[in-house]
Amino acid sequence: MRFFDLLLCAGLLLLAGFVVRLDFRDARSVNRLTTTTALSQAAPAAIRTLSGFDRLGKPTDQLPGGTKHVAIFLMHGATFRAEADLWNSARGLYPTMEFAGVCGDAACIRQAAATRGKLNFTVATMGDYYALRRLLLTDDGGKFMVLNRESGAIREVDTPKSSAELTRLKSILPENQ
Amino acid sequence: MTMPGNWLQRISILAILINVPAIGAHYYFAHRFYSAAGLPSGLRVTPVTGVTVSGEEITGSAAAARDCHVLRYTSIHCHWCREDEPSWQALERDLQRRGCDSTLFGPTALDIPKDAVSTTDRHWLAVVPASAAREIKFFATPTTIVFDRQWRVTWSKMGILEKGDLEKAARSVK
Repeated sequence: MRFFDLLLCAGLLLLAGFVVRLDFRDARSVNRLTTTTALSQAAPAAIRTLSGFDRLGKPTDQLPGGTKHVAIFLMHGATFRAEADLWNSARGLYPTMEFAGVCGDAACIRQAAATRGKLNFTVATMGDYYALRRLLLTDDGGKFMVLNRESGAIREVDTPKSSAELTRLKSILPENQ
Repeated sequence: MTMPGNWLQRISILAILINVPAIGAHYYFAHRFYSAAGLPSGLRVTPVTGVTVSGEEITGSAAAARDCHVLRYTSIHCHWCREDEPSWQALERDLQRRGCDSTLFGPTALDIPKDAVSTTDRHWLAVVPASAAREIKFFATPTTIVFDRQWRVTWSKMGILEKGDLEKAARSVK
């Protein structure tokens, strides 16, 4: 009986050691997975390759050039008209910046195609997978990206919902500081 | 109870107290890892469209034309993707024989091999629509997902393909 108790106790201890070791290995794996692949705030990425059209309606595969900063924002089919009107006016307010809207759904792609050449900013209907995921997360947080083309730095700024909010961005956007 | 018995009892209780949370933690990690690692079978996604490296647009109807589809998330900068290339090619060949087409893309267009060639049953996509990024959440390269004709997940695997995966993937589209 004593031998059986000892055997049982040793077995439980061995099992505990095995499972705790397994836990440490699992924790390391999960940690490695999340730190190397998760789309965290520490891993911003701006869209670099895209399929879309520029302000003139010409096909393009890159962000608009010529300025240090580019604003990259997500556009939604359900509110496309209002968003297009708002961002159309942005270029007048911020002439030293370029703007690129990225379609987030099929309805946006359809409407963007219908207004091709009439928008005052570049529209991307497709782009780099990882950058799109990052932009979707940014948009979920009610923000858009401002890319510094020289340094590659990305700043996330609250997405304006009205002309007044767009004007207020003057104090936030890099070119105006 | 004698002293040695008491000692044994205390050690055993301690071992049980360690075991219970340790096993719970193992299940928690296994679940987290699993949920992060692949897509659940049966999940239906929008057909993966895009523009290939050669500039050809893969439309929704072209993407849904075949009986099954295999999606590969890969990168030329990923060591394990290179290690996994022979297994992937064997899997791709086998699935193409069964009527599937394959779609490959990476985190960015720069992750695609410079000599990548798209064919009628193999699409190397440089860019994808936001719907792909919204519906298919890849965490790491390489990841392989098999879909049926309606783009419902039948099998998926994050990481390198292992012995038996080819059979499982092939069985899933029968």
